Amino acid sequence: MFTTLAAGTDSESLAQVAPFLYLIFAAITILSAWMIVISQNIVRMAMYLLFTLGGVAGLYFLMSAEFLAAIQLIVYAGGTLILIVFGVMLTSKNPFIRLQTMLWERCVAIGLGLLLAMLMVIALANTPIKQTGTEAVAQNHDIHTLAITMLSKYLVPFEVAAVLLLVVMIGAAYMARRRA
Amino acid sequence: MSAQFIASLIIMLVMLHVFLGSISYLILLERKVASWIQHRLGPNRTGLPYGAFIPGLPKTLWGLGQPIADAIKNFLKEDFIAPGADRILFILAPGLALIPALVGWIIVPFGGYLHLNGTNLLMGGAPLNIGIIFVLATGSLAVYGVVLGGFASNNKYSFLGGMRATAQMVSYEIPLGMTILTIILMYGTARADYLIEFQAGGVWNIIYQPVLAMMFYICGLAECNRAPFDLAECEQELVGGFHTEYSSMKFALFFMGEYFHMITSAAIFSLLFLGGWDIIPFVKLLPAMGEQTTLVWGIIAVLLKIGVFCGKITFLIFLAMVIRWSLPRFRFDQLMRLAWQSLIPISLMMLIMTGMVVFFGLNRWWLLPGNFLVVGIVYVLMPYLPKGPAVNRRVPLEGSRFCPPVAEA
Repeated sequence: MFTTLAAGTDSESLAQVAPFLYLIFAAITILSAWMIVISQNIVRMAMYLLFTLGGVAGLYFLMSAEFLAAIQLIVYAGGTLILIVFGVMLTSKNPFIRLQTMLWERCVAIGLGLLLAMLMVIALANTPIKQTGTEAVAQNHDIHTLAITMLSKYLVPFEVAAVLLLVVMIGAAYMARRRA
Repeated sequence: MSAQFIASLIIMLVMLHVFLGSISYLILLERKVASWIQHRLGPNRTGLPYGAFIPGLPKTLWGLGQPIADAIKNFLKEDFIAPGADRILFILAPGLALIPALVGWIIVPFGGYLHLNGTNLLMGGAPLNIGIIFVLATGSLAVYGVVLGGFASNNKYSFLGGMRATAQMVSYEIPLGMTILTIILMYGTARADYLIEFQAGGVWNIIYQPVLAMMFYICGLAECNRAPFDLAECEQELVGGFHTEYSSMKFALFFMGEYFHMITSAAIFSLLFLGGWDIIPFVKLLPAMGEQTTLVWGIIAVLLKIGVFCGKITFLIFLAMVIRWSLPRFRFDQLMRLAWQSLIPISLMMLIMTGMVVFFGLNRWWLLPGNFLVVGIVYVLMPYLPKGPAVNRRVPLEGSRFCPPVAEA
């Protein structure tokens, strides 16, 4: 109805400030991810994880994937992480719980991390990255297109994910039932 | 820098400072409403000139200087951190409470559109494609300030307050999201400016969907931790809940976060249900998008629209204050039952009902009887639903009015 009159996402101004904001969000993401690894207090880890997720959501916003960013905040930052915090607080006897890592655990973690980094570098090197204008990206990511695609072309994966969530929910309700 | 960028920047800066300034006066209004309801005078001694006399006005100026005095007091107080507290989280928590509230309202199109040089400039924050879904995203982050503040204080009462707030906010997010989804379904768009343009000069959404509007308002109160849902900070049980250990500006930041959340939820309520900047339903008074004649009239219309929007926000906050001083607080199990056994089923059925009306292409007026039909169906079905074992019944203490003393019987 209003398509001819509406002002969309301001792609021109976004392109001007994008490199600067990209540096900020990337720095937040990497720094807080690093802090998760070196921190020992589990609730502080959860808070750093919040900043990591928020930084990734900011990167999504910069890529004009607004819906993805909002879902990232709602599902991961607002849902999953709060449940983790909730669980940690309710189950730990000592409120300032500390996590100590063994030497062999660190070795395994560093090895796995290096393998993953190698995989990502190889994948990046073999992917041709096409430079597209921000306008094309913005138009492809409006939520109407997304909804139509999700409910026509990708209907089966969508429904499978829904069934999976239903199974998880029934399982949780079964576990939490009152035992006679 | 495009014109839209500059317009958005100006509107956002102006509105941010208007809100920040108005928060202290909203606290004064809250105290005045409390005193009005409780039949006392309220703060009325601190005038603006602090003792100087302005001819023609009462010397105390109805207590209008109180907010400034409060702010100065908050700045000058000792900023105390309890020795057992987790320092980093303790300092970060008030910021985490305020920041989500500060970004949530940027999607609100306060001034509608201004036609300038052939383009329509949005007189609001960001014309985001996802619109009000963005509010849900920032609103889901609001709980962190409360829960981390309660945890970091290393105080049992604060911790309990944080726990309660988490359970409450996670529960009430579901019906809140569902009501927003219903509106998105009704108009087929999530953009805040389109939602207002659909309602402006015609029928406001509250007339189509009164029950849905009421549910949204209840969930908004619960998300802001306002009475009767202020279990996170109830003074009688938890001393002060999550902010017991906080003093000075940290405490003030928590308070500002709460009021900012109220402003945001009132703004979202008025754009979803009260037609945004529209003055009266059914009557077209202000120009809609692209209907502007001259630039001067356009600017006057934009200012009027911002004024009307702020008036609606003020009215809704006033309503929340009256509710706070009229209703007693819920018990925690009542709170959870209200969310999971009433609001979530009703909002699910409302979503299905609206979906059917949209799918069959019926007139929107069918939504009005549909609303009451849904409530009727839930009311009829409720007694037949399986019930869990009754916990939290009144304990029949001997000698209480539920259990007369054994000697008498």
